[in-house]
This record gives sequence, structure tokens and C-alpha cells, in this order.
Amino acid sequence: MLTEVSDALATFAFAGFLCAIIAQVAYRYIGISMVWSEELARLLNVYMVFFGVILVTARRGHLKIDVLERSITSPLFLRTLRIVHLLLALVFLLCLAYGAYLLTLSSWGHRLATMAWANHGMFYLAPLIGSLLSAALIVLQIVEEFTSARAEEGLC
Amino acid sequence: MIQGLFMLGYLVILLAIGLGAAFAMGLASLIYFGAARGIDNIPFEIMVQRVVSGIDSFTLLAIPLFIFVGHLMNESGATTRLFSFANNLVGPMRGGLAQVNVLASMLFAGMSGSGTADAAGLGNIEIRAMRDAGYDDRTAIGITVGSSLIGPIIPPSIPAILYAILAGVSATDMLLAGLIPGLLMALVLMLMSAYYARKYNQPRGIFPGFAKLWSSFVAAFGALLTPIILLGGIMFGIFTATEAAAVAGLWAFFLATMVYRSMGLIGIISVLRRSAYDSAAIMFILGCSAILAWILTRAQVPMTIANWLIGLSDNPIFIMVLVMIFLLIIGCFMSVAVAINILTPILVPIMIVYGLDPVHFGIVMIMLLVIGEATPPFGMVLYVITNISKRPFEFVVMASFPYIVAILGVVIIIAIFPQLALWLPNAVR
Repeated sequence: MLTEVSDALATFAFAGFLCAIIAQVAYRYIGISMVWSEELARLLNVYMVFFGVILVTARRGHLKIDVLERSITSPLFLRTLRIVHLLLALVFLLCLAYGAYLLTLSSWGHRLATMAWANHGMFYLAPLIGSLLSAALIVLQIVEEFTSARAEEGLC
Repeated sequence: MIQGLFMLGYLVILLAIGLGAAFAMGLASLIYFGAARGIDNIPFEIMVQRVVSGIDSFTLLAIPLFIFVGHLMNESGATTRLFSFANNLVGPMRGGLAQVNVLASMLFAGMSGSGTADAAGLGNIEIRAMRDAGYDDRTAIGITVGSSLIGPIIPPSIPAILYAILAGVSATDMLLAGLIPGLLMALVLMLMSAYYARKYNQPRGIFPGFAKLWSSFVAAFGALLTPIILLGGIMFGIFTATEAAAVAGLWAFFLATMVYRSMGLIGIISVLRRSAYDSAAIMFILGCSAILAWILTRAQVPMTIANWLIGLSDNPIFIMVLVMIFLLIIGCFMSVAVAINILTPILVPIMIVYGLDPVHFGIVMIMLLVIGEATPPFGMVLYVITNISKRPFEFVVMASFPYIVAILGVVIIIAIFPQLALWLPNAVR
């Protein structure tokens, strides 16, 4: 459910900034200035990235160097390594979420230059949502690793 | 400063144990702040500010848009049309399908900024056609891997945009600087294919006649216009790199839905979803690398390394060779996007100290890192072609080797003659 919603929102944000840039080009050539389109495109891009990060985390698709992982043959060692990765990622995401929370609060009152209805806090709300939900998914993945380890021990 | 160097050490360890690149960069920065300022004084707000400012750039929007155009062209059947046109044009030569392979990849490179997209889209068609025509797998696989590497060099190029943002140079200059080196890569691969065609008496195709050649040109015409829209728009100052990417996206959408009629709403949504996913994976790394770049600049790490290198030698050629060898090795272990994110803030200030042009260095750097896409153990193009060709990974590596050496030769030529990269951006400016 969470990944489906993130997927839909990231796709919507992508389509949104594509339209905003095209509108900017089109309106420039018919002589109408759309000063807000660039800021809107940038805002939607930030949301696309952080909704996308939730999806990338859910699919364990973060780019990495997996030479060590591929050279390990022991399932126990491999699982331990995966849990270490997840715990380290969790620490970073929680720090990011905390920083984003502080910034969202402090900049919520500051309006954007070209879009009166929006404010600077909205730029930081995206990493807050993205890192918090990604952190939640990582907690689930850690639980999953422990559960499958126990199940395998039970089978043995 | 020492803490800054230690931070690079933490980063190497975290990357080596296989932690996601974005997390590795973020955590290395977090450890740096903890060590330098104390655990109670970690500036979480600055970290988030850097991440968001690393992503929040209008120029950067070109990356997801280039990814979108590449996916859309692959899914809409444009690749098949390009291959068919290239086949009718140069297929009748001896070893013609190897030439077709390079020509089709070169044309596709004008719409996609990624080698993996080229390998996944055209690779399948190219290898199948070459096998059916009686080419041995070594030639079919080798030339397919080699020609896939043209994609990230000829504009639109995703690595060029990444580099431009991190190095603080013009994205337009970087995109234009890649054109001649990319064409030179294609030329060298074509010459090599012609040599092998004679040496191994490879088959030649039958000329289909001018009527069929013309009809295949007409069928591919829409797709062939994409690079003209992109480059023409940028070169004549009609739009910025990002706007050109968006217009190319609209054009690709128009081709897929109205001209080729190969994609409906569901297909378009699927391409948008894949583009958003791929873009998020790359741009999250870019955001996290912005914290790292900020720390490196404040701790004056690049300047310290530059001073150390000057102590070693003040000869820019020696330093360039040293850095090129380093990049070639790094490219084997890191993806192009990750390596550019980490190394650009360190290497560019050093190269400027030695009087090298950052745009020229950027093209050399990108070309060396792109070679890593076709070298073990991290070469994504190798994995894609292994999957497509159903041959062992080792076989694909060995088959690609001569072509990779040829491309390395091109990089050395570009490094020796900067004007090959700089002439076009200087002429347009």
C-alpha cells in the first residue's frame, strides 16, 4: 500500500514538472511570462525524488558496490551484513528526518518568491516524509531478516 | 582538514562493505560532524539543507527528462526503426551488421544519455540480427558492448549534466563538448569493425534498393529528429538544456502516441513510473553527495591534495596521467553516477590548480568512468549483455576487451588534444 501510493505520487510529480517546463517554453513563445513554472518544477522534482526514495528503499534498489556481498558464500554472514546495512541506513534516514523536521518548522512561514500559496517549508517537508517512511520500511526489512533467520533455524 | 581526510576513509570503508552509496556519503558526513563538532552539535539542519539544495536545481531536471526520453524511445519501437534504417544504409558492406550496430547506437545516443539503456534496448536486436546473419558471438557481443558506451558521451548525456552541476561549469558546454569525442568513438569502432570484417571474412548483407532505404529512413525520421531538436535547440539558444530535454520528452511522447501509435496511456504511465524510480535512485545520491562536497570545500581537502600533488610533481601531464589511471581503476568498482558525485568536488579544483580546463577534464573523466560500465566487476553494460546473450560473464568480458582498448585509445587522444572536446562549445558560445 505504502509503496503503491509513493509510486503514484512520484509519477504524478514527474508528470507535473514535465508539464511545467513545457508550459514555460510554450508560453514564452506566445509572449506570456510564467514566472512560477520554474519554481513549481523544482518543488515537484524534490517531491519526485523523496517519494521515489521510498520506492527504491522498498525494492532495496539503492545503488551500491556489491563486490563483497557477491563474494560471500555463508548465508549467516550475508544476512548479518544485510542487517548491518539496514541499521546504518536507518541511522542516516532518522538523522535526515530530524533535520528536515526542524527545517520544515523554521521555514514554514517563509513564502516562495513566485508562488504565494507555497512556502519554503514545503521543500523540506518532502525529505521529512521520504526519510521517515523509508526508515519505517527499513525497520520492517530488519524484522523480516530476523524472522526469516528464525524460520530457517527452526527448519534446521 | 585531517578530519576531512578521515571522512574520505570512512566513505571508502562504507562503500566497500556494500552500503548504498547515498547512505555511505550521508553517514561519512555524519561521522565527520560528530568527530569535528561533538555528538551534541551535529548540524542536522545543514545536512538536510545541503541534500535539498543538491537536488533543487533547474539544470538538474534535465537528468530525469533524459531518462524519460530514453525509456520512451526504447518502449515505442523507435530503436527497431533506427536499427532497420542503419541496416539498410550500411548493412550491405562486408561485416555490415557490425557497422549497423555502431551506427544504430550512435543514432540512439542522440536520444538517450545512458549506456545501459542502449545495451538493454538495442543490444537485444543487434545481437539477434548478427547471430542470424552468421556472425560469431565474440564479434556480436564485443561490438554491442563497445557501441553501448557511446550513449553516455554523445548528448544528451546524464553524466555530463551531473558533472556540470558539481563542477560549476555550463551544462550546455558539457553537453556540446561530448559530441566530437562520441563521434570519434563511433568512428574508431567502425574502423575496427571494417578491419575485423576483412580479416575474418565476415558476411555482407544485400542492398535492399533505394525505395526500401528511403521508406526505412521515413519510418525512422521522427526518431532521428530528436537529437536535432535537442542539439539544435541548445546550440541556437532557443532553449536551455533542461527545456530542450522537456521538449524532446514531448516530442518522444508525440511519436509514441500519435505517429507510431505503439503506446497507450498505460504504456506512458509505465514509462513515467520507471523514469521516476530511476531518477530518484540517482538524484538521492546527488543530494547526499552535496553534504560531502560542502564538507570537502570547507575542510579544504581538494586544496590539500593539490598541494601534496604539486610537491610530487608540478607537471600537469604527469598529474593528468596519474588521475586518468586512478579514474580508470575507480570506474571498475563504482557506477558512473556515484563516482562523479564523489570525485568531481575533489578532482576539479586540483585540475584547475594545474591549469587544465574543467570542461575538457570533465569529458575525459566521464569517458574513463564510462569504460568502467564495460569492465568487471561492476560493469552494468556487461551484466545487461550477459543476460541478453545468455553467454557466460567471462565470455562477454573477453569479447568486449579489444573494443574497450580501442575506446581507451580515443580517451587518450581526447586528453592529448583538448580542442576535440572544447572546439564545439567555444564555437557556439
